[in-house]
Amino acid sequence: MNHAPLKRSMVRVNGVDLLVRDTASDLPPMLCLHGRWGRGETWTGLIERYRDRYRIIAPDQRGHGLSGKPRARYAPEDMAEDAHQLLRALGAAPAIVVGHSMGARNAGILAALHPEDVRAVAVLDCGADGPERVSDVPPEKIAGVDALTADWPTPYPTLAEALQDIGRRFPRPTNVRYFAESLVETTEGYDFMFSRWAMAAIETYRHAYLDLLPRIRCPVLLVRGSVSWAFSKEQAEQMRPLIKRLTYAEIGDSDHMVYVDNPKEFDPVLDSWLEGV
Amino acid sequence: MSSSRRRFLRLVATGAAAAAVAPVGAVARAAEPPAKSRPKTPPGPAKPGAAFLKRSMVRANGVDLFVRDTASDLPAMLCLHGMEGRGETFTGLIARYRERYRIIAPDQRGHGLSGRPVARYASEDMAEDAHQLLLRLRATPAIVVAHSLSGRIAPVLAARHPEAVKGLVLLDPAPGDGPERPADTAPEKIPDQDPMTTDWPLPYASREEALRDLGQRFPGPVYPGFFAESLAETVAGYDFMWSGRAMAAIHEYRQDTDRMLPEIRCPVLLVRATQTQVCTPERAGKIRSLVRNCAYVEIAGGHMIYLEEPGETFKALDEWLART
Repeated sequence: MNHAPLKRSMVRVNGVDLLVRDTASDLPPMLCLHGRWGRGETWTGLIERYRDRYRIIAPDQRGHGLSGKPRARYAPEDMAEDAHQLLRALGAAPAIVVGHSMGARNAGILAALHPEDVRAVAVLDCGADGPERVSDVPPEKIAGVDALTADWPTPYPTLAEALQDIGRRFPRPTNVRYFAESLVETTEGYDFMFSRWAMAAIETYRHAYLDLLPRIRCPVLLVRGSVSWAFSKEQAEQMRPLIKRLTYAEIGDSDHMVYVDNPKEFDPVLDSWLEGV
Repeated sequence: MSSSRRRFLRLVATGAAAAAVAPVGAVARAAEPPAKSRPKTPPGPAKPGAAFLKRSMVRANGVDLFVRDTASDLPAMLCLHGMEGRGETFTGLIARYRERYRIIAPDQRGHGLSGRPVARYASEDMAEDAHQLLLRLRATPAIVVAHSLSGRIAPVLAARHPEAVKGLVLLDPAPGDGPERPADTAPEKIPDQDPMTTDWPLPYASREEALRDLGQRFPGPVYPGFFAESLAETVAGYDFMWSGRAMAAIHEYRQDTDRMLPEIRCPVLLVRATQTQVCTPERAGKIRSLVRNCAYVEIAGGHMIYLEEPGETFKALDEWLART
């Protein structure tokens, strides 16, 4: 089917410039929040699949992609506030919010803190546990880069080497693509767009939000990849009794990239949940 | 044939040309062997291995050229891409010949990550870029492999700087006729619009849309991949890296380069693609009659012959290199 092109724009919210992809239709809005090291691009398949039913909005979150990378706090509340203000700026509240990993935590907290913004929330492969309190370390005291990518040999001299190296670290092609979406060519070689400092800040400010789960009043879809390295059965069991209007699903043969690792199982789960919302 | 493809080939035939590899997006999606789970501890950093390419900016002839260089001690081979191309297009050739040659593949002026001066883009200017690049990299004398548009540039390089060129390979070269001297148009008077992309919906909102549009304009995998090598993401969307003014300038400053052919003293290999009209039999005949030492091979394939028929192209190149 022929569609109007995706609209790309920079939207300033909460003091940060966010690059936003927006199908910009009159349909009910759906906000998609990617995980750490990710970009809005990761939702390309979902956009194709649902753009006839929803107005889909997929930003690069702060610290990622082409969005601003302030030396600031990166607590889930801060990123949820970005999302809240983005929905307001785009006239897109209330929205269905789909979040993956870090973006799922941001989405859950957004749903708890701004119930008027969120019609329903899909929490994809992310726990609600973590340190009890948000760290009070000021941003300027956070040093260095995130532990995951600290020793990656960037910049890569070629795109092929970048993909090979990522492939050695993450054997699933879905992971390789996820990181490749942040690769950018510079004269020195291929490097990542995300701020490694921001990735470290996200880890520093991560905290538990189990206490907020009972405050989520809208329908919640909680999805776990059956062989996810990031979200265990125990973490899921911890969350389930705390969520009122819960649909829970486990996707077989799926690692952390639960929305793309096994679409045959995932797509019908999301479809039928959306129908009930 | 789509009108875009016709227009591209016409532009190639009248003034310029091109060359390529798999689209970045497609590469990013290349299947890796599935595995059970992510390793707990990521393996250590990858060492620069067999695929190592040095990337650097080299100032030559007043222009910053972005250069890929295998940087070995082997005899040098300079690869010059066609119009709207990039050095990336020679990825397959680099893989094939890097054990035997030090391969140098720049983005030429106005293209890719190289400088895009508001200046002349005549073949003699771009030939001088290549000459100074070879000197800066201490890579003379070099075998020069030139595709399409560069089939007009490389003969100027070989004729004017015989000490810099050991052998010349012309891959489906663009026509070399034109005015004796390049036009004296002021560069700033040239519109900043590539004549090929006048009605293209640029910038594209996503890489997918870019590849879809290229796929509709240029059926088959080769051209979309070639152009995709110049796609860059900006806040406004995906656009081509080449300078529109530079592409217009290449047309504007076209000059007669065929008159250089009799001055070429090194061996030349001419490869003509027979399923396209860029290098016609007449043009091939003219080149062969003007060049002293010209080997000639015809390959059944399209203009992007080294991408469409790499096996045949490399075979011809191998045989010629063995004799030269």
